[in-house]
Amino acid sequence: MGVRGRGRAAATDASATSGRRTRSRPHGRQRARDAALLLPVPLLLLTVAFLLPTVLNLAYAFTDWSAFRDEIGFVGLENFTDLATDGILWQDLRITLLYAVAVTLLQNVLGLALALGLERSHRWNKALRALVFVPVLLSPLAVGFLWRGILSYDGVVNDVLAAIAGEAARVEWLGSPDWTLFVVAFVHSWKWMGLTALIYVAGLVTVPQELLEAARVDGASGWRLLRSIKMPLIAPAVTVNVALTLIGALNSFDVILSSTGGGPGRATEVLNVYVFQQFGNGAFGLATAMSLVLLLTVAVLAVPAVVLLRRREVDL
Amino acid sequence: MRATTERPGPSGFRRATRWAAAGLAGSVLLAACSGGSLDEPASEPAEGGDAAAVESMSFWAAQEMPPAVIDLIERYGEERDVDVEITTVPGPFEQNALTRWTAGDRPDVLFWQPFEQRLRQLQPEQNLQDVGDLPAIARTKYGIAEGSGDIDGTKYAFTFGFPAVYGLFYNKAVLQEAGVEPPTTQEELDAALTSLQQSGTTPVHLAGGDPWTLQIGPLSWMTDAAEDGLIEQINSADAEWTDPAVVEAFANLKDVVDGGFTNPDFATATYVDQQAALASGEAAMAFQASWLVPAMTASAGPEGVEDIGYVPMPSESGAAMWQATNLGSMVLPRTGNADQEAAARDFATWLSDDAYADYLAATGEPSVFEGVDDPAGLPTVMTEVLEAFEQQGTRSVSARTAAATGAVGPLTGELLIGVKTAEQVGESMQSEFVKNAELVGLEGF
Repeated sequence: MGVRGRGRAAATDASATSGRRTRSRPHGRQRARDAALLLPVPLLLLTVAFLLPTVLNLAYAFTDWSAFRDEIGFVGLENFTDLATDGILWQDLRITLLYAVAVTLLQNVLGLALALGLERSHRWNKALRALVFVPVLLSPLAVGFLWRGILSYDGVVNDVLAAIAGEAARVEWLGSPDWTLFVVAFVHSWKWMGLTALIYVAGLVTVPQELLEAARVDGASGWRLLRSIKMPLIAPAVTVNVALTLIGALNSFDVILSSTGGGPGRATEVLNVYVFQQFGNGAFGLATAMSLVLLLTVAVLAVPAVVLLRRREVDL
Repeated sequence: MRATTERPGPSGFRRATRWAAAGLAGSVLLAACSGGSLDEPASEPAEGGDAAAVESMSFWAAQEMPPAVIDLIERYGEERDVDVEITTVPGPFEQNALTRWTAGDRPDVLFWQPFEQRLRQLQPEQNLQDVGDLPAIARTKYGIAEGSGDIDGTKYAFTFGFPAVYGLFYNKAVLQEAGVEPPTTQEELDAALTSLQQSGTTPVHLAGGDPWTLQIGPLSWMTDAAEDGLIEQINSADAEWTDPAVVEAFANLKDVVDGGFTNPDFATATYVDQQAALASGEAAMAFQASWLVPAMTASAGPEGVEDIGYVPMPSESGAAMWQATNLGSMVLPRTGNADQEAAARDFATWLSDDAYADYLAATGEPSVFEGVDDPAGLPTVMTEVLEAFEQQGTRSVSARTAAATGAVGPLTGELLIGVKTAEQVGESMQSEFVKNAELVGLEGF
C-alpha cells in the first residue's frame, strides 16, 4: 500500500503547504544566542540532578560504603561476587524479569483493548477515556494499598467469589509463592493501562478512515482490519508503549512495596525492593551495586527492544 | 514562494522577556545552591553549652510513637520556651531514618533502638553523645541500664520506657472455654495447640502480611540458647546461626503451620488483623512482645486488653526475653553545637524526672526509674509481664547480636510457605551476619 506509518509527518506536510501567514520565527544567529543564554541553566540542573548521581552510583557500587564507617574503600567487584554467590541476585533478577515480561504483555494487551473500544470520539468515549486515566494519576503506593485491601483474605474479590460459588471461596491472592507475582503484575498494569490506552488511541486516530472503509467494502472482518491495517499503522505507538511499559516494569517499586512488601517469603522481591532493604541495613555499597545491576538490566533489555521495534516501524 | 515577510529580528519586548527569563532561572539556581547547606557532623564532643540559650530543637521518632509522648515533647517546648520540631519518620523506621542520617542530617534527640547492631549503624563513637553520666541512669531499675545502650563500655543510649518482653499472649476466655491452662513447657504447648484446634478456635494467629511479626516466635524459642550464651559465641565466630538450637526454633514454628494450628491467611494477615483476632477471641494465642499491649489498647480499647494474659515462651529456664525499644529509648546526636547538645541532655533529664509520672500515665506502662511508682490502672496483662520480667528476664537475641542477620521476618515467611527449610534459614542468617560483621569490623571476621 505504500502508506508510511508516520501520522506526524503527514500533519506537518499539511501546514507547510497551507500557505497560512505564520509569525516570524527567530533564525540562525538569534537562535544560537537564545540557546547560549538559556541552555546553561537546564544543562547544569540535568548534570547535577541526573548525570552526577548516575556516575557516582557507578563509582560507589565498587566500594564498601556502609553506615558503619566513615571511610569508603575501593573493593573492586567484591559486592557483585557477594551478590552472585549468595543466590539473592539471581533470584531477584529472575523475579524482576518475570514481572517485567508479565507487565509488558498484560499492560499492552489491556491498553490496546481499551484503545480499540475508546477510539471513536463520541461524548461517552471521551468521558470513559478520562475515567480510564484516573488510576494513572493515583499514587502507586495508594494503588498498592487499595488492591491489598481488595485482594485480602476477607476482601471484596473473595466475597464476590464466595457469593458466586455459593461457598466460602477464600483464595490467598497475595499469599502464593507461585503466582502472587502475576497478581501484582496485574495491579501494576491496571494502574498504568490508561496511559498505554491513550497512546494507542493517539496512534489509532491517525489511521486513515478511507483505508478502513475500503477494506470493509472488500469484506474484511474486524479482526482482519486490526491485524492487517491498524496494527502495522500504529507501530510507532507500539514502540513507545512497549519501551515505556518495559522500563517502568523493571523499575517498579512502590506498587510492590505497598501490596506485598516483597513477600510472601521473597516471592515478589524485585531488585528495587532488595536495594531498599539493604540500604536500610546500612549496606550502601551493596545496595548501590544491586541498583547498578538493575540499570544494566534495563539497558540490556530496553535498548535492543526499542531498536527492533523502530526497525519494524520503518519496514512497515 | 513564501507568503510571510521576514522581520529583521525580535522586538524589544521579546528580547527583554528572554533576558528576564534567563535572569530568573539563574537566580533561582544560585539561591538553591547557596541555601540549605548540610551541617558537618562533629567528631569532637562540644564542651560547655547552655541549654537555656537554645531556641529550637528537633526530634525524630517512629510512627508508632504514642501521641501522648508527642504531646509531652510539645509540653517540654512550652515549659522551656523552645520551638520543638518533631519529625515522625514513616516505616520502615530504621531504613528511612538512616537515609537522612547518612546525608548528614542530625536531630537533637533521636528515638532509637539501644542495642549494639542498631547503635553501630550510627557510628556512635563519632556521632553520639556519651550519656553515661545522666542522673537518671543510676536510678534505672531491673538492670535495664546495664543491659542496653553500651558500645565498648561507653553508654550512648538512654532508656526511659518499659522494655518489650517477648512471649505468649493469649485470650483468657478462649483458653478457659477449651479447658486449657497457659502452657509453660513445650509439651504443654503442643497439647494446648491440639485442644484449642479441637475446640474450634484458631490456636495461634500469624501475621505474615507484616513479616517482622513472624520472627518473634522463633526468636522466643531461642530463649534457652540465649541464656546459655550462644549469641555471644556467634558474635565471636565460635558458633554459627546454623546451630541446632536456632534451626529447632524455626522448625517449631513451621510445625505449628504444618499442623494446621494457625489461621488460613497466615501469609497475608496483618499485625492489625492479629490484634483484632486476639481481642475478639477468633484466635487463642499470638507469639508477640509486650508492645502488643499499647497497640491493642489503641486499636481495641482498654476492654480489648482486659481479657488478655501473658506467659513467657515455654522454655527450660522459664526466662522472659526482653529488649528496650525505639519508643522508649533515645540517643543524643553530636550536632557540634554545645548549647543544642546541652538542651538534649536537659530534655532527657526532664522526661525521666519532672514529667515521668505523666509519661507513665500516658503510656500505661510500669515505671523503670526508682522513686516513681507504676501508674494506677495498669492492664492485668502488663502486671503479668512485669512479674515475669522481674523474676527472670534475659536479654533478647536481637539485643545480644552484634551485627545484622538480614531480614529475619521475610526469611521466616519463606520458611512458612515452604520455599526454604529451617536449615536454609540458618544458613541465610549466617551469611548475612558474616557480611555485616565484616562491615562493622567485628573481631574474628
